[in-house]
Amino acid sequence: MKFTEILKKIDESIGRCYFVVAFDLESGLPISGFSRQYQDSLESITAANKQMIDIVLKGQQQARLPVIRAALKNFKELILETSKSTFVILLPRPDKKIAVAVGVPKDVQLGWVKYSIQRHYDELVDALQEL
Amino acid sequence: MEEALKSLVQEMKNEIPDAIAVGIFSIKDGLILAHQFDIPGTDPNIASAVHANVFRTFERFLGLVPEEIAGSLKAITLSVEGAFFFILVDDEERLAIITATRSSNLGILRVLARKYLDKAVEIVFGS
Repeated sequence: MKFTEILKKIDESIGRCYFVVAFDLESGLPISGFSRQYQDSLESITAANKQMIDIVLKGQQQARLPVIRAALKNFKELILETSKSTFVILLPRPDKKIAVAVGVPKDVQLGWVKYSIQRHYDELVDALQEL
Repeated sequence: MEEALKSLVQEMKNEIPDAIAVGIFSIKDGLILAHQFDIPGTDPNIASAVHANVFRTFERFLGLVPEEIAGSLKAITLSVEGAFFFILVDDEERLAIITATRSSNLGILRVLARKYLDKAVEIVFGS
């Protein structure tokens, strides 16, 4: 419950989120999340975000150069910008077992999205540790 | 054209704060057109092929989010411990510019990537 409340705080801070979801990185299953417009699509949205992270993790396994492998192992955040939206995926827990993904319209400033997440980041990490 | 692109990436690498690598590649075939890498042992052809593949894979998976919010891929930012990778795609999805830097100033990184991508498009396509 507490965790969902924090996701809602992030949504409220950004103002115009398409979705905010948290999911288990190993299984890809949703832990919590909500969307004002796309509640029925949260499962497929979570699956898409999981796939995006898998691409990075697969790249890490396949990287031949140790420096690249080490860099990708310490992956913290992925931002995808499209012609319509911006998608931000974070791995807030030190053990990187849980990912949090946010989707916003492209005209929402990226700095504001990052700031809105950042201002609740510590609460997010604490709540995630309790899961 | 090749010399102009080489000169362009050199200029870009000099201008981007703490740049580790810069490159311009063709999205369609994954071939690198010009690069400047500070990472010893990096094969630029493999690097560009990987990036082109990453780009296409990301596009494919955008198909999983509702169509009205998916759109076409324009930029990717990957933050890792102590470094940032940024890929910017031109409006017609022909060329992409990749930058890797140790600087955390993402604003200047984006501005410079846009500036040099526009120049690269001009050199390659003349517009």
